Amino acid sequence: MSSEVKRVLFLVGSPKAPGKSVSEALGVYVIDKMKALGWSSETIFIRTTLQSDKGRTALLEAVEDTDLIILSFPLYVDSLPAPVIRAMELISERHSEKNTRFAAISNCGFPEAQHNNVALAICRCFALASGLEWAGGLALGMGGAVSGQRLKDGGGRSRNIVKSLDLTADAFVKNKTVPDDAIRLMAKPLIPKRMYTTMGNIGWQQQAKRYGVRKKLRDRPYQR
Amino acid sequence: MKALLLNGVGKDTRHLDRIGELIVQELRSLQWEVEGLVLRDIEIAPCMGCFGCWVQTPGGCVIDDNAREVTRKMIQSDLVLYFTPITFGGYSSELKKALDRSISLVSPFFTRINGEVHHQKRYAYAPKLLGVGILHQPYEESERIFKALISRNAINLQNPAHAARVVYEDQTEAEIQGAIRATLDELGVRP
Repeated sequence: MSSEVKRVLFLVGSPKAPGKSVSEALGVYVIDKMKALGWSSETIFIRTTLQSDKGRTALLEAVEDTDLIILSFPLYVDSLPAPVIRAMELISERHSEKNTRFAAISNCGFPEAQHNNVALAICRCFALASGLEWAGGLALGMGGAVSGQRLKDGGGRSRNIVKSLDLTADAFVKNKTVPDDAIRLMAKPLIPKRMYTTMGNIGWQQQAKRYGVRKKLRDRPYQR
Repeated sequence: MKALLLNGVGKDTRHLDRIGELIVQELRSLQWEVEGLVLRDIEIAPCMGCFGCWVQTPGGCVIDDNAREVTRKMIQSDLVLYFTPITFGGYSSELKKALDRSISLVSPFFTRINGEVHHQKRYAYAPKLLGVGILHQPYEESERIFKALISRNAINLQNPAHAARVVYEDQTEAEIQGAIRATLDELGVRP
């Protein structure tokens, strides 16, 4: 690395469009904080970048040219979304010798953050297999209750998330791993569990109503 | 009894297909009707995380591609096998692309299982689940993660029984067959 300015690469693991995902909002908060502390950044949306040879090459070059990688993703079937795993497979083929650091933020729609544990263990395993230095992971539950705007405003039910991300960004610029306090704060329920599941169950019905399928929510099209 | 083997071996590790063939042979010797799907040869778009399969076209993905048929075959089987090179402890991207698109098999509504929140069943029944992961050599951490992942999947899909087995590339056919046989016993799928 010729420049004195430290670089952070933000990998967005959500397949959603820019500006639409909790994964992106969580990572952007950390990246913005690190930029304010003098770091430069690059952001790559994994799903779209894997669609072309040019994108795949750009991904691998960006991984080579950074000091820290932060991956933020939604939990998919207890693990990472398929395109994120594909990106990991590609990155791992080029085993790095640079001790670039790698951290992950996993979020899920279940109320308990512990659902993310296996996915974060996979992230750690990936780092070890790829010559990257594991810088730790954060797990968030109740992702359905997080709003990107609230994170920016730093208040309301997102306050523990904001505190956690502040601690994490501070640790990263000091070359440290994700602090235990940040992990604990991120895992705290945003609202009572029963309230979350009740709101969630109502929310599914409201969304289905918009498509005129509220009464079909329990359909079994593949019943044998 | 119908079994579906989802083969998640990638194009660069096709030599591992032979292990999948051993599993198929073993099941057929037990009178199972087995279908194998080589996922690397099946075009499946990534899940977009839209939840359309829950709230727009309940029970089926809004994307009209091969994932719909794979998902249908999964729920209409008595046993589903996840066959995959263990990839950082988890599944290969080839296997995962199909699994990501199968969440329509559960309902969006929440329920509690052992004090933890999960999704309700959509179908009254679910297949048994067997995960067979391949490693170059024994690697305790990867194996622990793989087994934990199968267990977590089995909770979420509410499979009536599940098992995970790790086999190694350098094992002989007899050793692999023995391991698979023992796992099928564990799963209770031998007559």
